[in-house]
Amino acid sequence: MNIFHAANIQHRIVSIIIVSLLITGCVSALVSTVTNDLAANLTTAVLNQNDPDTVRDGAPAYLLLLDSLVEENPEDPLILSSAATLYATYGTVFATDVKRASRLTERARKYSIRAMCNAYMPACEWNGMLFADYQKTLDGLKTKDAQVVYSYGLSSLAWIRVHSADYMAIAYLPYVEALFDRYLEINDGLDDATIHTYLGILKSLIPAALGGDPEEGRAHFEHAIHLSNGKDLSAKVEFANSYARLLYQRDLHDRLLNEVLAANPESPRLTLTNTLAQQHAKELLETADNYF
Amino acid sequence: MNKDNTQAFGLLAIRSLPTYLITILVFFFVFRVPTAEAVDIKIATLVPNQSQWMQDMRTAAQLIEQKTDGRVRLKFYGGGVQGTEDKVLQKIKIGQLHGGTFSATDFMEDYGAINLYGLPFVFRSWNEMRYVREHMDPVLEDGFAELNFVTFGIAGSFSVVLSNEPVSTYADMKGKKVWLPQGDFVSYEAMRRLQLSPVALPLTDVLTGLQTGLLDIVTIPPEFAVALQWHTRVKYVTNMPVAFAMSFLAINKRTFDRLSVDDQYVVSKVLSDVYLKIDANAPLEFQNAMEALKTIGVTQIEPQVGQFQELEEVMATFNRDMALQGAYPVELYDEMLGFLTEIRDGTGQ
Repeated sequence: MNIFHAANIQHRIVSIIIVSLLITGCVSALVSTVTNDLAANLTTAVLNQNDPDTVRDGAPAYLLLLDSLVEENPEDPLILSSAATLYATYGTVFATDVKRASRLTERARKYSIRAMCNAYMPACEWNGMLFADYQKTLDGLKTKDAQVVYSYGLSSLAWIRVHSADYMAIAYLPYVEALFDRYLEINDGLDDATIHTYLGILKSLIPAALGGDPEEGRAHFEHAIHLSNGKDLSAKVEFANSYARLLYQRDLHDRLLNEVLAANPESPRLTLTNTLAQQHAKELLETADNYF
Repeated sequence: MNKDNTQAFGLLAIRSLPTYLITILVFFFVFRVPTAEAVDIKIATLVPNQSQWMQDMRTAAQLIEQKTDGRVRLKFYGGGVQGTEDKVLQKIKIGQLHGGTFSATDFMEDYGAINLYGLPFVFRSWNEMRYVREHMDPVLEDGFAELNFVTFGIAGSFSVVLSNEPVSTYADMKGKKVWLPQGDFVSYEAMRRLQLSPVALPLTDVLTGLQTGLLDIVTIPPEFAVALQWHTRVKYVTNMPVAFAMSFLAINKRTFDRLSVDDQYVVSKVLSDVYLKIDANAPLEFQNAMEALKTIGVTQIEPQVGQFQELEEVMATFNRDMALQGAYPVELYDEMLGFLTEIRDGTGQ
């Protein structure tokens, strides 16, 4: 009975947010082989791009580049993480064919598992581990692991999103949530708007009537918006999609989305994701009458 | 109009009133044609908005709106925003809502027969369930008409035992604190007969109950356990069908009757097709969720030989007792057992 595919996360937004993270992650991989300047310029250029199609068409070359880097450095957690992140992003944002998305996110998952295992040995046992035991292992994660943890969480979410018809994928959602909770603790005191948005989504999946706590999700969304001074439009779109729709709060839903559409998407390192967020906001507003 | 005329008009109006009213009523009831205006059917459910079920239902709603040229619009309120099922039933009574999704226990008092499939330790397999349902679903669904509801099929899955200590024998269960939904008096009595300690809690408190030790065991379909993340608080699952947990969509008959015959057909056909699909996929979904539990480290326990039969025997006596006490009709209970005998003997059609 497919009644409770509750875990079918709001993939479009998730994907949107992933983009920036992945590409940021690429920097570290590229640093191994090209100059810091080139990597930084590439990342900035991609994130400042206001035409998603250009990124979609250009990214596959970088997937292959990262594959070759992995071949050369098969045990390097940062390179594996960068490859995982880019594969996860591309698989969820730009791969429209289901089988292709499945292949790409599966590869992302494999890379990220290897990265995590190489960076933190207890993670080698995570596959098939009971949640309570898994939670205990999270305590050992340190600041040095933050980047790999980040990529592992993102790759897991991307894989779950593409395989959301499978309970085996859904079963891992609370694992990712616990990992992101831990990430916020080890991220060297840096608060991360994107992770708060992810946590907002994850904590809004189960309605209060079924034991969930969407208000906790709301707090994460509001914090994400606050951290970016309202410039990260993805946080607002996901707030509307995951929380306002869950609770049938039409006023909040429309207000957030209209703010997104009225905003200038061009913002340093946010232009690409904001452009995608505006497209999604438009779709959500167009379907609102049917929904509410 | 002067005063006399006014009075005369008033008298005329009053004296003419019955005829006038009768005319309106005749038009209303006898010559009533289905309204050309759109009918909004508001349906509440606990099912989350992002679930596959909800996606299927929204697709069905679009199809219905399209096929009825916009005359019928289904609006879904998911995630329990309209309250629990008892509140939804109240809102349907006063016309604020027109339908909802329910489980058998929501109609326990008004329609006991609907609980037959959910009796514990009756069915041993999906095949048995399927065979019995082929014969008895129409009978049970007809009963809803008397409750002024129209239904569109049944979907369900088998509950299994999830626990923090392995359960492979009847003795393993005795004395254990077992969750059951509030208001499910048949299950409550069944657990007492099995010498368990039933703990009635709302869904919202189960995860905490498992965490704090208030509960030792929950019985729930594995699909629900994964979706509600209860799998994060258990270590074992016993591969044994405890009871068939079913749900169905019901729309108030008064609202349904406002639709033209053609539109009623469209709504019934589209919604029934969705339920047929969900129902057909149910065994695979169950298996997939059981595999998922195994994948994340929940140990699968097989019941020891003869243990299931022992539970069946205890429950057979109990189930008959409950029927004799009026919880559900004895004749329907016997009919169900008759179909079970047929499929077990291989004499069934």
